Parts: sequence; C-alpha cells; structure tokens
Amino acid sequence: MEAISILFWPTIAVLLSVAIYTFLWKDNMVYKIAEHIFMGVSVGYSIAYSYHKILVPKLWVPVKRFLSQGNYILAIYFILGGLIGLLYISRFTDKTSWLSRYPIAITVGFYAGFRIVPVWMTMVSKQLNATIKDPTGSPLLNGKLFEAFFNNPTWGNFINAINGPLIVVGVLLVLIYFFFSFSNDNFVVKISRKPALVILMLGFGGAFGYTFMARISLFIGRMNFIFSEWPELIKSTLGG
Amino acid sequence: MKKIIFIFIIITILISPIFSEKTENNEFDEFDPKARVKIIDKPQDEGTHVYVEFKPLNKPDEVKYYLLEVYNKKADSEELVSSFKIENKGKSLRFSSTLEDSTYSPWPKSRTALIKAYSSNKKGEKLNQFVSKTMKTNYSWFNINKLSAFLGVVIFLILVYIFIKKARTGTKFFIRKIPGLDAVDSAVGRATEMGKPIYYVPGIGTTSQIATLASLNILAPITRKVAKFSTPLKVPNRDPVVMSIAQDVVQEAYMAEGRPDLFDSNDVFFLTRQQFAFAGSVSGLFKREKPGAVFLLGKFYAESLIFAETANDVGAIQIAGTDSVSQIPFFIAACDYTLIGEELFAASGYLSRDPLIVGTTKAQDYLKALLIILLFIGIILNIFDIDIITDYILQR
Repeated sequence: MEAISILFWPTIAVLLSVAIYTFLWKDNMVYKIAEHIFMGVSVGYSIAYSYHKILVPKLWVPVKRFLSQGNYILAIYFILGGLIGLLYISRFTDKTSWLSRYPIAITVGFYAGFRIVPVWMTMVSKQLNATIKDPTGSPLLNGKLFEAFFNNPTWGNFINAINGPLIVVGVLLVLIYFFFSFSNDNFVVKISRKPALVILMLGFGGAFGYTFMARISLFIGRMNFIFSEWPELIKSTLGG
Repeated sequence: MKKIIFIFIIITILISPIFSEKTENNEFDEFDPKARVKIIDKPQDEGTHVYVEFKPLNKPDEVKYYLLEVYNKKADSEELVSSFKIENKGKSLRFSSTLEDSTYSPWPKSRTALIKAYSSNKKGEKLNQFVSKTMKTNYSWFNINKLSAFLGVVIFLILVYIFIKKARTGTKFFIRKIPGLDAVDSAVGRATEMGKPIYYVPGIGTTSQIATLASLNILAPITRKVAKFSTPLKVPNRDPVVMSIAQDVVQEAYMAEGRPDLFDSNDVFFLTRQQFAFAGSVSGLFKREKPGAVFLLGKFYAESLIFAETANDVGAIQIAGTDSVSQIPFFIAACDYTLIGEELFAASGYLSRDPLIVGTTKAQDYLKALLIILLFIGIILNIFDIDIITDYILQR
C-alpha cells in the first residue's frame, strides 16, 4: 500500500509527460486526454485559488474587520468594489451584458493610467540614462578606454573600448528605425534602416540562443525525470 | 539531622536545572548587547516606508544573534509590521519596512515607526531588549523624483491633442509600410479560398499590458476584413477580462460591416488561465481545425514557439507580433510575417487609418524625436562631466 502511495503520483506525471509528447507524432486520443486533464485541473485550481487567495483575504476578511472596527466607510469602499466585480456575471444574459462594460472600463482605465509612471521610469528614463552612463557612473562614450586600448592593444581593452559606443549607436539607430510617420526617403531614416536591422537581428540572435538553451535544459530535466529519477524510485520502492 | 541533610540534597538536585539554565543564558548576559540603530524616512513617499540601519557593536562571539522589530505606533496600540532576525557578522545592515497596517489609509499620512532591538538566540527568541526608538515619518502628495514622468506625459498629451486635431480636420498623415500588415489581406483571402477558419490569439497578457491593448485594437480592423468574406474567426483567450473585451470588439466590427449575423459569442472563448494548459489547448485546436491563417498578436512568453510551430505544421499563414524581446526571435524563425516591437503599436493605425490612432502614432514619433535629441545632448554633456540630463531629467 505504501509503495502505491509513493509511486502513484510520479507514475501519473510520467504518463502525462509521455502523453503530451505524443503530440510530436500527431494529434491523438492520448494527447487529447492529457490536454483536457491539464486544462480542467488548471481551471479548477484557478477557481479555488481566486477564492482562497483573492476573494477571502482581499474582500471578505477586510470587510469583516472594518465592520467590527466600526470603520464603515472603508467597509463600503470594499463592498462597492466587490459589487462592481460581480457585474462581470451580467454577461450570462444578453439583456444585462452591457453592465459588464463598467468593470471592464474601470479595469482597463485604471491600468492604462497606473502604468504610465512605471513605464516612463523603467522603459524611458532608466533606459536612456543607461545609454548615457553605465551603472558605475562613467560615460558610455569614454575616451579613456580608447586611450587604454591604444596604449595596450589587447582584445580585452578593445572590447571594453567599443562596448559603450556600440550600445549608444545601436540605441540611436533602432530608435530611428521605429519612426513610422516619417517617409522612407528621409535621409536619416534611409541610411539608418539597414544598420538598425543588423543590430536588431544580432540582438534577437543572442536572445534566441539564450532562450533555446533554457528550453533544452527544461527538456533534459524532464527526460532525467522519466529515464532516471522515476526508474530509481521504482527500484528503491519495489526492490527494497 | 540526616533527614535535614537528605532533604537539602533532594532540593538542591531538584533546583539545579534552574541554575544551570540561568548559567546557559548568562552566556549572553555577560555582555551588554549594543548596536547603532538609525531610522531613515523614505523621502517623497506617502509616509509608509522607513529604512532601518543596524550596526552591531558587539563582537560575533559576544552576541551572535539579534532580533529587530518594526512597529507602527499609534496613540493606543503598537502593531508589529515586520521583524528581522540578524546574525552578527560585524557588518552594518539596512532593512526596508512598510508601516502599512490593518487600518488601511487611502491617502498619504504621517505614521510613527517604533523600532525595538533585542539580543536573540538561534531560534530567533527575544532575550534582552536594548533599543527602543521612534520616528515620525513625513508624507508628500507629489513625488518630485518622478517629475520627469509628469513632464513627459504632459508633453505627450499636448502632442497627441495637436495631431488628433489636425487629423480630424482632414490632414493626411503618412505611415510607412509595415510588411506584415500588408499580408493581412492575402492571409484572410487564402483562408477564405481554402474554406478554413482564421484564428486570432491576443496573447496571454492581461489588460494591464500595453501589447494586449494594442492587440485588441488590431482585432477590430482584422475582423472587419474577415466579415467581408464571411470566414469564421475564432479568438481563444487566456484572460476572462480580455475575452469580454474581445467579444465586444468582434461584435462591433461585424456590426460596422453590416454583418451582425456572423457574430457568435462562442467563437471568442475562454480556455484556461494556466500558461501551458492554454498553449496545449490552442495547439490541439490548430491541429484539429487546421486554420488557414493564424494571427499571434499581443503579449507572448514561453508558449510563443509552441503556437508558431503548430500553426506552421498545419500550413497556416502566420502573422505574429509582440513586444516581448525574448519571443520576437521565435516568431521571426517560425512565422511568415513578424511585427517587431513597436510595429505592433502602430499596426492598428496602419490598418484602420482612424484619425485618432494615426494622430497618436504621429505624436509618438515626435516624442521619440524629442527623446533622441535629449539623449544626444545628454551624451555630449556627459563627455564633459556635466550630468544635468542624467541627474534631473532622465533619472534612474
């Protein structure tokens, strides 16, 4: 009995992994079963998660606490939020489905506004700052590094010297590439297009290789589980 | 006498553990725990954040562990908000704590931070309290460090206003060719000729992500093109809110083309919130329904290649686009056409030619031009050790 309880879930995991991999051959019944189990479990899990991690701690518990503390304004504030959220359910009938636009409008409007400052700070201000200065505070276009290279022409000094200028030129060219309302005949746009594409593709190539290696690592991990960890578990449980 | 001596010995044996424990605790009591504790108010915040600098003044062999507690002190109570177990390595440490408490305040207000420090043991128990410090926090309604964001938004709003007004008065703005979008007509046409459905996946992002909103903007003109040919359009979703918006967008687009009869709310459907369950389900749908064209536009993560490869496998024309830098290479490798980064944001203007969106695209370009000029000035000034731009305008 103990052996079954130890082996049951790892064996299910192995079977489901193999079932998912059968998709590489063709769409088949085994894959469909695994797909529907995966989807059904994830939907069920997300409902339970929303109830235990959102509805109860973020709505039910604070409302109860505010009411017991006599803080009725804050309690009403939370209850109103809950009621607006409930309007999503109005989509179930055609007559009332227009009501669901209120929570949608509030959600989209809130996030559109809420994201302005973080997006500006992280994607504009910080990025441009990092194109002028490196994290240590020295300029990216640093003449001293070129001086060091000419005094001691090693590969390391060369990389150090061109690293900053490459980033600066790359950022400028790519920014110009993403002008949409200027004509392609515009001199600056015309001469920067091809070098910008080369820089973009170099960047994407690097990202591709890096991510691909991460995926291979995940694949090795799964194969290791199926061909090494699971047989070991069977041996140690049934053999011992 | 013997009895008295016997009783004395028994009592001595019984109470000896008390003394032995005391002796063990005296290990810590031999040295007075000492530390330099400084409370620093986080500037420009709503009065909730404090930093605590803690420098142990005992050697590690004198007092090995400390316990630091941060309280939100009120008139009638003290509410513990965070506690830090510290191992004495002779180094100065800095902790961050928030004084947000159960009586949540929606507006900025001053709070009182109370710091208590104790000598402790390995288990993290309190032994001797040796520090008790309080500090009142300052609050502000405006964070001056984010002034650049405010100015940037104001400039952008002015530009948007000017260009939308111009576009509405009939000025035609140029938008350069985006190859992926020119292929939309042929993709829709091909699916229609083959009698196969079209799939539009708006990514796995939520409405808080700009790429998702851009994707929902593109969905409208694509649906209008699809409506002309009465080709079935299917939109699987990972987020219920995105699904609701997508349903409305598709319905309105069909109505705008005079074909409300083509709309079926079941064609814009929710699958699951779990990333790879969603990827598996969409791949299964691709395999079973063999779409003629697949649009993958929005926010994508690790599932991007699963979608692109499966759609490629069933022979669909794929037009993909995302702003996730790590996923664009996969789309470039596996899809027929790819919208790179910002092309996704310009796409809805390009397809719809709506003056509102075209005007916004023009304003974006002008803001970018201004930022390039600012960057250029910043780089030149920085070479001469002048840091006005980096210190005051483009802060980290």
